[in-house]
Amino acid sequence: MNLNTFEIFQAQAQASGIIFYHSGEFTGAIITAAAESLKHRIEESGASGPAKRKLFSTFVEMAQNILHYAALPPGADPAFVHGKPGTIGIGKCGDDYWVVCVNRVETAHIARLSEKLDAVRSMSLEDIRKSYRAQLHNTEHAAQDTLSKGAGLGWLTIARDSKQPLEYSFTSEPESLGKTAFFFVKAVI
Amino acid sequence: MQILRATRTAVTPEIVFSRAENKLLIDGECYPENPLPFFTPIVGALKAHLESHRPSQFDAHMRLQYVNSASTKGLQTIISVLNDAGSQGTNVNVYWTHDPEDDAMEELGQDLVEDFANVLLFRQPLAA
Repeated sequence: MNLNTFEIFQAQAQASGIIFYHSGEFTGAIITAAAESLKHRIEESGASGPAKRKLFSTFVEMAQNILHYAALPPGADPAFVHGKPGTIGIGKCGDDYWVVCVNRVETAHIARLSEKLDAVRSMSLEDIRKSYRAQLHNTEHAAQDTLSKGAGLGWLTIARDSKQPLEYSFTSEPESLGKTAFFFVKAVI
Repeated sequence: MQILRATRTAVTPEIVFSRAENKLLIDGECYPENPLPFFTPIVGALKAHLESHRPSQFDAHMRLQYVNSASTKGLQTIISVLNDAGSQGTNVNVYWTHDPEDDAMEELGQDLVEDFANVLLFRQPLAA
Protein backbone atom coordinates (compact mmCIF):
# COMPACT_ATOMS: atom_id res chain seq x y z
CA MET A 1 0.00 0.00 0.00
CA ASN A 2 1.49 3.35 -0.95
CA LEU A 3 1.11 6.37 1.33
CA ASN A 4 -1.54 7.93 -0.84
CA THR A 5 -3.71 4.81 -0.64
CA PHE A 6 -3.18 4.77 3.11
CA GLU A 7 -4.30 8.42 3.35
CA ILE A 8 -7.49 7.55 1.49
CA PHE A 9 -8.06 4.58 3.83
CA GLN A 10 -7.57 6.81 6.87
CA ALA A 11 -9.81 9.59 5.52
CA GLN A 12 -12.56 7.04 4.83
CA ALA A 13 -12.24 5.64 8.34
CA GLN A 14 -12.56 9.13 9.78
CA ALA A 15 -15.52 9.98 7.54
CA SER A 16 -17.29 6.81 8.72
CA GLY A 17 -17.15 8.12 12.27
CA ILE A 18 -14.83 5.40 13.53
CA ILE A 19 -13.57 6.07 17.05
CA PHE A 20 -11.95 2.68 17.63
CA TYR A 21 -10.76 -0.11 15.37
CA HIS A 22 -8.61 -3.13 16.05
CA SER A 23 -8.09 -5.91 13.58
CA GLY A 24 -5.61 -8.61 14.44
CA GLU A 25 -4.66 -10.59 17.46
CA PHE A 26 -6.78 -10.56 20.64
CA THR A 27 -5.03 -11.62 23.85
CA GLY A 28 -5.84 -10.82 27.48
CA ALA A 29 -3.11 -8.17 27.54
CA ILE A 30 -4.26 -6.57 24.28
CA ILE A 31 -7.88 -6.45 25.48
CA THR A 32 -6.84 -4.80 28.76
CA ALA A 33 -4.74 -2.18 26.96
CA ALA A 34 -7.41 -1.59 24.29
CA ALA A 35 -10.11 -1.25 26.98
CA GLU A 36 -8.03 1.43 28.70
CA SER A 37 -7.48 3.31 25.44
CA LEU A 38 -11.14 2.94 24.47
CA LYS A 39 -12.23 4.53 27.77
CA HIS A 40 -10.36 7.69 26.79
CA ARG A 41 -11.72 7.68 23.24
CA ILE A 42 -15.30 7.30 24.53
CA GLU A 43 -14.73 10.14 26.97
CA GLU A 44 -13.42 12.38 24.15
CA SER A 45 -16.35 11.50 21.90
CA GLY A 46 -18.72 13.11 24.43
CA ALA A 47 -20.86 10.04 25.19
CA SER A 48 -23.31 10.28 28.12
CA GLY A 49 -22.66 8.36 31.35
CA PRO A 50 -24.91 5.39 30.51
CA ALA A 51 -23.67 5.24 26.88
CA LYS A 52 -20.06 5.18 28.11
CA ARG A 53 -20.73 2.15 30.29
CA LYS A 54 -22.68 0.39 27.54
CA LEU A 55 -19.98 0.96 24.91
CA PHE A 56 -17.29 -0.26 27.26
CA SER A 57 -19.29 -3.32 28.32
CA THR A 58 -20.17 -4.24 24.73
CA PHE A 59 -16.51 -3.96 23.72
CA VAL A 60 -15.34 -6.17 26.62
CA GLU A 61 -18.01 -8.84 25.98
CA MET A 62 -17.25 -8.94 22.24
CA ALA A 63 -13.45 -8.93 22.72
CA GLN A 64 -13.63 -11.74 25.29
CA ASN A 65 -15.93 -13.67 22.94
CA ILE A 66 -13.22 -13.46 20.26
CA LEU A 67 -10.57 -14.57 22.73
CA HIS A 68 -12.61 -17.53 23.96
CA TYR A 69 -14.41 -18.70 20.83
CA ALA A 70 -12.81 -17.46 17.59
CA ALA A 71 -11.68 -20.21 15.23
CA LEU A 72 -8.16 -20.03 13.78
CA PRO A 73 -7.38 -19.24 10.12
CA PRO A 74 -7.25 -22.17 7.69
CA GLY A 75 -3.94 -23.99 7.97
CA ALA A 76 -2.88 -22.25 11.20
CA ASP A 77 -0.92 -24.46 13.57
CA PRO A 78 -2.40 -23.89 17.06
CA ALA A 79 1.05 -24.49 18.56
CA PHE A 80 2.33 -21.31 16.89
CA VAL A 81 -0.71 -19.11 17.35
CA HIS A 82 -0.61 -16.44 20.02
CA GLY A 83 -4.06 -15.04 20.83
CA LYS A 84 -7.06 -15.15 18.50
CA PRO A 85 -7.55 -13.17 15.30
CA GLY A 86 -10.60 -10.92 15.07
CA THR A 87 -11.83 -7.39 14.47
CA ILE A 88 -13.79 -4.87 16.53
CA GLY A 89 -14.86 -1.48 15.23
CA ILE A 90 -16.73 1.24 17.10
CA GLY A 91 -18.11 4.34 15.46
CA LYS A 92 -20.54 7.20 15.86
CA CYS A 93 -23.45 7.77 13.51
CA GLY A 94 -25.65 10.75 14.43
CA ASP A 95 -26.54 10.33 18.09
CA ASP A 96 -25.89 6.58 18.07
CA TYR A 97 -22.80 4.49 18.42
CA TRP A 98 -22.34 1.20 16.58
CA VAL A 99 -20.11 -1.65 17.70
CA VAL A 100 -19.27 -4.44 15.27
CA CYS A 101 -17.20 -7.54 15.91
CA VAL A 102 -15.97 -10.09 13.39
CA ASN A 103 -14.28 -13.41 13.93
CA ARG A 104 -13.99 -16.82 12.36
CA VAL A 105 -16.23 -19.59 13.64
CA GLU A 106 -16.38 -23.24 12.74
CA THR A 107 -19.23 -23.80 10.29
CA ALA A 108 -20.40 -26.62 12.57
CA HIS A 109 -21.29 -23.95 15.16
CA ILE A 110 -23.31 -21.70 12.84
CA ALA A 111 -26.66 -23.35 13.63
CA ARG A 112 -26.06 -23.14 17.37
CA LEU A 113 -25.01 -19.46 17.22
CA SER A 114 -27.93 -18.52 14.94
CA GLU A 115 -30.34 -20.19 17.33
CA LYS A 116 -28.92 -18.27 20.32
CA LEU A 117 -28.93 -14.92 18.49
CA ASP A 118 -32.38 -15.40 16.96
CA ALA A 119 -33.75 -16.12 20.43
CA VAL A 120 -32.19 -12.94 21.83
CA ARG A 121 -33.28 -10.90 18.78
CA SER A 122 -36.91 -11.87 19.31
CA MET A 123 -36.94 -10.63 22.92
CA SER A 124 -38.18 -7.29 24.22
CA LEU A 125 -35.97 -5.46 26.71
CA GLU A 126 -38.16 -6.78 29.51
CA ASP A 127 -37.77 -10.36 28.18
CA ILE A 128 -33.99 -9.88 27.97
CA ARG A 129 -33.89 -8.76 31.60
CA LYS A 130 -36.04 -11.70 32.67
CA SER A 131 -33.86 -14.16 30.77
CA TYR A 132 -30.76 -12.55 32.25
CA ARG A 133 -32.09 -13.04 35.79
CA ALA A 134 -33.10 -16.63 35.06
CA GLN A 135 -29.70 -17.43 33.55
CA LEU A 136 -27.85 -15.77 36.45
CA HIS A 137 -29.58 -18.19 38.81
CA ASN A 138 -29.22 -21.18 36.49
CA THR A 139 -26.76 -23.46 38.25
CA GLU A 140 -27.02 -26.07 35.49
CA HIS A 141 -25.51 -23.89 32.73
CA ALA A 142 -22.10 -25.62 32.60
CA ALA A 143 -23.79 -28.99 32.20
CA GLN A 144 -26.39 -27.73 29.69
CA ASP A 145 -23.95 -25.94 27.40
CA THR A 146 -20.56 -27.61 27.37
CA LEU A 147 -19.20 -25.29 24.64
CA SER A 148 -19.82 -22.17 26.74
CA LYS A 149 -16.89 -20.95 28.80
CA GLY A 150 -18.77 -18.24 30.66
CA ALA A 151 -21.98 -17.75 32.54
CA GLY A 152 -24.21 -17.90 29.44
CA LEU A 153 -24.90 -14.20 29.88
CA GLY A 154 -22.73 -12.67 27.15
CA TRP A 155 -25.29 -12.19 24.36
CA LEU A 156 -27.98 -11.13 26.82
CA THR A 157 -25.59 -8.54 28.26
CA ILE A 158 -24.77 -7.19 24.78
CA ALA A 159 -28.43 -7.24 23.70
CA ARG A 160 -29.60 -5.48 26.85
CA ASP A 161 -27.38 -2.50 26.00
CA SER A 162 -28.32 -2.37 22.30
CA LYS A 163 -31.06 0.02 21.15
CA GLN A 164 -31.85 -2.28 18.24
CA PRO A 165 -32.01 -6.07 17.97
CA LEU A 166 -28.50 -7.43 17.42
CA GLU A 167 -27.73 -7.84 13.71
CA TYR A 168 -25.63 -10.78 12.67
CA SER A 169 -24.43 -12.56 9.55
CA PHE A 170 -22.07 -15.28 8.40
CA THR A 171 -19.82 -15.08 5.33
CA SER A 172 -18.20 -18.20 3.99
CA GLU A 173 -14.43 -18.47 3.78
CA PRO A 174 -13.67 -20.53 0.63
CA GLU A 175 -10.00 -21.07 1.59
CA SER A 176 -11.12 -23.08 4.61
CA LEU A 177 -12.91 -25.61 2.33
CA GLY A 178 -16.10 -25.22 4.32
CA LYS A 179 -14.56 -25.56 7.77
CA THR A 180 -14.84 -21.92 8.90
CA ALA A 181 -16.89 -18.81 8.18
CA PHE A 182 -16.72 -15.17 9.28
CA PHE A 183 -19.24 -14.21 11.92
CA PHE A 184 -20.36 -10.55 12.15
CA VAL A 185 -22.39 -9.05 15.00
CA LYS A 186 -23.55 -5.45 15.33
CA ALA A 187 -24.96 -3.65 18.36
CA VAL A 188 -26.24 -0.05 18.42
CA ILE A 189 -25.89 2.09 21.54
CA MET B 1 -3.91 -14.19 58.98
CA GLN B 2 -6.66 -11.81 60.01
CA ILE B 3 -6.86 -9.77 56.81
CA LEU B 4 -6.89 -11.08 53.28
CA ARG B 5 -6.15 -8.50 50.62
CA ALA B 6 -6.04 -8.41 46.85
CA THR B 7 -4.62 -5.30 45.24
CA ARG B 8 -6.66 -3.67 42.51
CA THR B 9 -5.49 -4.40 38.96
CA ALA B 10 -6.68 -3.04 35.60
CA VAL B 11 -9.26 -5.83 35.39
CA THR B 12 -9.91 -6.90 38.99
CA PRO B 13 -11.14 -4.93 42.03
CA GLU B 14 -9.46 -4.40 45.36
CA ILE B 15 -10.51 -6.93 47.98
CA VAL B 16 -10.15 -6.49 51.71
CA PHE B 17 -11.52 -9.29 53.85
CA SER B 18 -11.19 -8.59 57.55
CA ARG B 19 -11.98 -11.66 59.60
CA ALA B 20 -11.61 -9.75 62.88
CA GLU B 21 -14.19 -7.14 61.85
CA ASN B 22 -16.36 -9.55 59.84
CA LYS B 23 -16.21 -7.25 56.86
CA LEU B 24 -15.62 -7.72 53.18
CA LEU B 25 -14.87 -4.88 50.77
CA ILE B 26 -14.84 -5.29 47.00
CA ASP B 27 -14.02 -2.05 45.22
CA GLY B 28 -13.25 -1.42 41.56
CA GLU B 29 -13.85 -2.86 38.11
CA CYS B 30 -14.11 -6.56 37.51
CA TYR B 31 -13.64 -7.96 34.00
CA PRO B 32 -10.97 -10.67 34.00
CA GLU B 33 -11.12 -12.96 30.95
CA ASN B 34 -11.12 -15.94 33.31
CA PRO B 35 -12.79 -15.03 36.63
CA LEU B 36 -12.23 -18.36 38.39
CA PRO B 37 -8.63 -17.79 39.61
CA PHE B 38 -9.70 -14.41 40.95
CA PHE B 39 -12.82 -15.54 42.82
CA THR B 40 -11.75 -18.97 44.08
CA PRO B 41 -9.43 -17.80 46.92
CA ILE B 42 -11.85 -15.22 48.30
CA VAL B 43 -14.84 -17.58 48.11
CA GLY B 44 -12.81 -20.27 49.90
CA ALA B 45 -11.57 -17.93 52.64
CA LEU B 46 -15.02 -16.44 53.19
CA LYS B 47 -16.69 -19.82 53.40
CA ALA B 48 -14.08 -21.23 55.81
CA HIS B 49 -14.36 -18.20 58.09
CA LEU B 50 -18.16 -18.06 58.16
CA GLU B 51 -18.51 -21.80 58.74
CA SER B 52 -15.95 -21.97 61.55
CA HIS B 53 -16.75 -18.68 63.33
CA ARG B 54 -20.50 -18.24 62.76
CA PRO B 55 -20.33 -14.48 63.46
CA SER B 56 -23.51 -12.74 64.59
CA GLN B 57 -22.99 -9.96 62.04
CA PHE B 58 -21.26 -9.76 58.65
CA ASP B 59 -21.08 -6.72 56.33
CA ALA B 60 -20.14 -6.89 52.67
CA HIS B 61 -19.43 -3.60 50.91
CA MET B 62 -19.48 -3.92 47.15
CA ARG B 63 -18.53 -0.88 45.12
CA LEU B 64 -18.29 -2.05 41.58
CA GLN B 65 -18.10 0.30 38.63
CA TYR B 66 -18.20 -2.40 36.00
CA VAL B 67 -18.57 -6.20 35.96
CA ASN B 68 -18.25 -8.40 32.86
CA SER B 69 -20.82 -11.11 32.31
CA ALA B 70 -18.39 -13.92 33.17
CA SER B 71 -17.69 -12.39 36.62
CA THR B 72 -21.33 -12.12 37.65
CA LYS B 73 -21.29 -15.83 38.57
CA GLY B 74 -18.33 -15.24 40.89
CA LEU B 75 -20.17 -12.43 42.65
CA GLN B 76 -23.20 -14.63 42.91
CA THR B 77 -21.15 -17.38 44.52
CA ILE B 78 -20.00 -14.87 47.16
CA ILE B 79 -23.63 -13.87 47.83
CA SER B 80 -24.58 -17.54 48.01
CA VAL B 81 -21.86 -18.19 50.64
CA LEU B 82 -23.13 -15.17 52.61
CA ASN B 83 -26.67 -16.48 52.29
CA ASP B 84 -25.61 -19.86 53.74
CA ALA B 85 -24.16 -17.98 56.74
CA GLY B 86 -27.43 -16.05 56.96
CA SER B 87 -29.38 -19.28 57.15
CA GLN B 88 -27.09 -20.35 60.04
CA GLY B 89 -27.98 -17.25 62.04
CA THR B 90 -25.51 -14.61 60.85
CA ASN B 91 -27.08 -11.24 60.19
CA VAL B 92 -25.73 -10.43 56.71
CA ASN B 93 -25.87 -6.96 55.16
CA VAL B 94 -24.75 -6.34 51.59
CA TYR B 95 -24.09 -2.68 50.79
CA TRP B 96 -24.19 -2.31 47.02
CA THR B 97 -22.83 1.05 45.89
CA HIS B 98 -23.38 2.02 42.25
CA ASP B 99 -23.13 4.97 39.91
CA PRO B 100 -26.59 6.66 40.11
CA GLU B 101 -26.66 6.91 36.28
CA ASP B 102 -25.91 3.23 35.80
CA ASP B 103 -29.13 1.19 35.68
CA ALA B 104 -27.31 -2.03 34.80
CA MET B 105 -25.13 -1.94 37.92
CA GLU B 106 -28.09 -0.91 40.05
CA GLU B 107 -30.12 -3.86 38.75
CA LEU B 108 -27.24 -6.29 39.09
CA GLY B 109 -27.27 -5.77 42.87
CA GLN B 110 -30.94 -6.69 42.99
CA ASP B 111 -30.57 -9.58 40.53
CA LEU B 112 -27.71 -11.10 42.54
CA VAL B 113 -29.63 -11.30 45.82
CA GLU B 114 -32.86 -12.49 44.21
CA ASP B 115 -33.65 -16.01 45.49
CA PHE B 116 -31.41 -15.48 48.54
CA ALA B 117 -33.67 -14.79 51.50
CA ASN B 118 -30.95 -14.62 54.17
CA VAL B 119 -29.03 -11.55 53.07
CA LEU B 120 -30.23 -7.98 53.30
CA LEU B 121 -29.37 -5.69 50.38
CA PHE B 122 -28.84 -1.95 50.75
CA ARG B 123 -28.40 -0.17 47.44
CA GLN B 124 -26.59 3.11 47.66
CA PRO B 125 -26.11 5.48 44.72
CA LEU B 126 -22.55 6.78 44.89
CA ALA B 127 -22.47 10.48 45.74
CA ALA B 128 -20.93 12.43 42.84
